[in-house]
Amino acid sequence: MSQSERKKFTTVSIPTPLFRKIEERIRGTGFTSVSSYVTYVLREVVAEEEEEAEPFTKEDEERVKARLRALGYID
Amino acid sequence: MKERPRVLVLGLDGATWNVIKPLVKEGRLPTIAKLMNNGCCGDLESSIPDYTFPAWKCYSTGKNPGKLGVYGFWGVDMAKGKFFLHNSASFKSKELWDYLGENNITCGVLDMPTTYPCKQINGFMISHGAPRPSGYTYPEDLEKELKNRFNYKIDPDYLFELGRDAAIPSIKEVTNQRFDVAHYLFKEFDPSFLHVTIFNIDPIQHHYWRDMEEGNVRYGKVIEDFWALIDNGIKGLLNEFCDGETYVILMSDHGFAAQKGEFRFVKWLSEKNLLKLKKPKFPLSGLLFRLGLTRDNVFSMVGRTRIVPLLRSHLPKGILRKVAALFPVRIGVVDMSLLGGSIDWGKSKVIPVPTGPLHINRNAFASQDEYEKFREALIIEIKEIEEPKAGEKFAREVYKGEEIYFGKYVDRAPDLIVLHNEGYTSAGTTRGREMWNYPTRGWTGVHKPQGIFLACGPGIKKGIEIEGAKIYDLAPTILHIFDIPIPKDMDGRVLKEIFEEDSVLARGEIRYQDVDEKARIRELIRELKARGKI
Repeated sequence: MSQSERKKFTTVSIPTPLFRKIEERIRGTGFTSVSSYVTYVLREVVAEEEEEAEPFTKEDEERVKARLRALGYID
Repeated sequence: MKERPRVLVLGLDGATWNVIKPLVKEGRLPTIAKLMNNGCCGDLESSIPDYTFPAWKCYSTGKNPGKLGVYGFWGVDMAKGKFFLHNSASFKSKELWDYLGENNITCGVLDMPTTYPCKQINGFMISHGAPRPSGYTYPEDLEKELKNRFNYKIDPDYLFELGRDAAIPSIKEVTNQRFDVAHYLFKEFDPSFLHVTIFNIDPIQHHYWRDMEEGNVRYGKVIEDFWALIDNGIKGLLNEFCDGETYVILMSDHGFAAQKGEFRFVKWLSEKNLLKLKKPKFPLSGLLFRLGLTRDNVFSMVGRTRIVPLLRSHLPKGILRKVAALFPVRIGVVDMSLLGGSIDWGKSKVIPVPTGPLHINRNAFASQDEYEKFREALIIEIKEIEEPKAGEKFAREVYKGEEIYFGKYVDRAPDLIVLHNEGYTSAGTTRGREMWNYPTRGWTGVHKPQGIFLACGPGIKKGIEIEGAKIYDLAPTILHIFDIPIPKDMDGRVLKEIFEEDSVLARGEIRYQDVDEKARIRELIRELKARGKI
């Protein structure tokens, strides 16, 4: 996607009662418009989840158990 | 603009007034005595349960476990039929240092349990109890610095796997090192907020409590000497880095009391056919236990012959540790086999988490109504359990999860939480013939919910005792000291009663902030994705 394309916007229709509800909802949250709120929600929905590296492995779990054992917490 | 405050929190794991106050009276803890005279102190009520997990995170988030999703060291996966260990990523919340960092305040966190894996903050973090000798610091290269400068040890060389003699010098060495590292970090980073945990008070008090109470010649002074070492360490830090303008807070995640009796809860449940256990695959540990060949017995026997010190200096420590691990510990606080799969989950109505809370297998009941009736009846039965010698009730109270927890993750809470009367514990083991066990060695000191709170600094009352402080109150109180709005989803309150009436902190309005809406949406959507809903 080019830089100029990224800045382009188009219109999506949503029911007016929903629009009003979102207007109510974003009050005091830092979102400045219904559009920015809807865009944020949709971006999060379509975003590909990053493959998170497993921070705590099976081996880690075994080592933690060994440590708890050395402390006398588990037998 | 007024100057930014500086706050030092010393988190003393398991610190308890019933040990500290008599030692202060005897003049053994001059630094803590001085802090008590210059500040405000009182009990600090812990989380339920009063364990390392989740208590430390209840402090740093100001939230109850229902909002964090963690109710103890072990989580329960009913669907898969297994226990799993929690780690820092299991807790779903921002912490005190995240909010401080967002306001450009430099923070440091040293050795607080529940912080591994490490995370990025505005400053530095050194995780507690890392299972690997790497990846435990932020920034990453701090680790190299700690190794080069201090030969930093995540844990003492020896804990209690070789009996009690080897543990003492190793634990003292690591504790002194924590104070040295705190000095270095203060100097190097000059953080406005520093949290330092001194963890090993907890195992020391577990293992030497009875010796202290009985005035045992060999081990009777271990706890006292350890506290003197801590007092001296605090003195060094205060002398070098804290002037009268620094806020100093001493706190603990829970207190301690004498072990009065250990109820074999798992055995009780299994005899009632509420818990089904498979036959053990490796009966060696149980056999050694019955023969009295526990780790402590074996090593105190051979220890007297000087074999252990000799082996210790000549053998690589890994080998000796592995040999030691073959022997069961004396009281078997938590039976490894229970964690390792000896429970028949499908046939059990009640799954006891090895440290006490109970999960009920809802699949074992035809209807919600049947489940509720069973739960009510079980509460009554547990409340009737009595320790036969003193005739005291085992349970102070039995709660349903939803009665004490609230928040998004309350559905993960145990079905029943048994609060023990002081000094009683649940044994996570089926070993032993009797229903009650009275340990004379091993864990003779046990947790109690009343930890310590002590604060001094500009505008804080002097020589005053307060009541009613809770572990959840510290995060909001510290944010108020920094004049940062308190997130509305924190459960604690600002401890306004500690501030002198005419001080800025007492007069100043307590400001609140809404929960970060973007973070909330992101988390919600991620969860829906993980559950395959979108």
